[in-house]
Amino acid sequence: MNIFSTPLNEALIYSLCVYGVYLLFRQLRFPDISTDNVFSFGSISFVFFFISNDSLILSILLVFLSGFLVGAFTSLLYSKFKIPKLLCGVITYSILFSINLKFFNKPNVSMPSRISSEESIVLIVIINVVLIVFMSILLKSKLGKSINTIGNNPAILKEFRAPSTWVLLIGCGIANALIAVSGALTSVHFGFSDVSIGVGLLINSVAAIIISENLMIYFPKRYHIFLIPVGVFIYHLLLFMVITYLSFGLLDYTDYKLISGVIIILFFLTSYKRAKDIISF
Amino acid sequence: MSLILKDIKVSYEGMKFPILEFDNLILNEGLNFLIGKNGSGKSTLLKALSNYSNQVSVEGLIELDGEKLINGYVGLVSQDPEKSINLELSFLENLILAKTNGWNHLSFLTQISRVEENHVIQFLKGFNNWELIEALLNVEANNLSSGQKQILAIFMRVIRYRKVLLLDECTANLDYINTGIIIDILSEMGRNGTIIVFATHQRELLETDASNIYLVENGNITRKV
Repeated sequence: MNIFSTPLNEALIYSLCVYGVYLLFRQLRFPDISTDNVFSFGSISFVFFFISNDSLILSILLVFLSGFLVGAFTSLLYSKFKIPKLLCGVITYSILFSINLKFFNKPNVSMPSRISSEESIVLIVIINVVLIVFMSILLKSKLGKSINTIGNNPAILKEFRAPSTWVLLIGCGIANALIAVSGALTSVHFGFSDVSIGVGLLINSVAAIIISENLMIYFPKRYHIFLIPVGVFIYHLLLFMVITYLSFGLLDYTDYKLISGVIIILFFLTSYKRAKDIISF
Repeated sequence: MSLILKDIKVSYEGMKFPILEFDNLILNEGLNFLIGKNGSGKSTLLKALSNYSNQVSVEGLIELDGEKLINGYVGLVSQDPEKSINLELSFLENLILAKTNGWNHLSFLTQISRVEENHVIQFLKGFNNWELIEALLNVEANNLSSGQKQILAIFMRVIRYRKVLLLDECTANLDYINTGIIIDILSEMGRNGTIIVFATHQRELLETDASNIYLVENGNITRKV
């Protein structure tokens, strides 16, 4: 097996999740930490939708919509009920965990009919391309600029009488929708879903964003959004190399969160100012 | 066009006596300087005029061209430009954001922003300093110098409000070259019909356009001749 194939597969599955976290943490600067369970939720609800309607595309659309609603819920906790941002994410995180368990009454569930691997790869690539193009248009649009402004300087958005609540709601909604769709893609890829499938994804995504951001320095701004999948690929390649060749049998795939944590700590230790520009709320 | 203030009392919440109390003040198009000691009430007057700050309560009549001054007609630029701009957007993107109104902030069509881009550029081309601004258009605000950031903050408010512009010590941190450029731009905006109210400590500014200087002292405002 080619050394690049595992990281490539993982980049295809997880890129959308990283786009979601990028939108939340980097653009909106909203510390919505519900990512792990939104991902599991997307994965489980996809199987649920697929069982009931037997259409891949329709199920993905429904997952996108339900992910959007989850994000909208989190943003409304903040903008309508004035709950502190961090707590909003925690609340959604906990609620979703129970909902995920309720969905199937059992810890994991298989797809009803196994999709052939060629079919699943084609589907995953198409959905990635569509949503990445969507993201690049979004960030160029006025909505994208408003989303960025709500993260960097909410006061001026208020001064210019923008509908801040809606900007945050749409931003959070789209971000969580992307994370949920990413979860759905894992179900398509692996043929099963599990309540704990998303555990640790937030920290992995942050590590991947940091790698992408460091690549972005070398490219003009209009290409920045397309560098995220590259960052995800490099991150998974790094992980694969460390586990296979450098750990001398001490680490395996269950330790990948440990490695992500170390990457983030190292980044903050070596270039604090830049790290803080990227991740701060 | 002029801004007329009549029987004004301005006070902060919880204070017994008003900070400012005066009968009549008329501010005309062009540059109007407010001078006075620290704590004399210059910033308070600006806050009262900008009326989107809810810390001050204002009694009396504030009229613009015979109509009551309502929200959304005035822009306020403070000493620290980083509070008034988005550092991650370019000069031009900041201006487009300032020009955008209400629900248009949710627009997903990039085509619309391109049309507005041209509107903004046409507006900027009317200024004598266009060459200087043109070089900055696509620079990310983070990479601008503090003078350029302040120029951006001022342009954002003018493009948005056009009628009244309030400046609170906005050149205090700048060298004389940048201050000169800003005064140039402001004078031009004044000639185009914007009422500019500029609170400052910098004596040298007063020499550039000494026509309208107001002294704020003991809660009163008097015109200096």
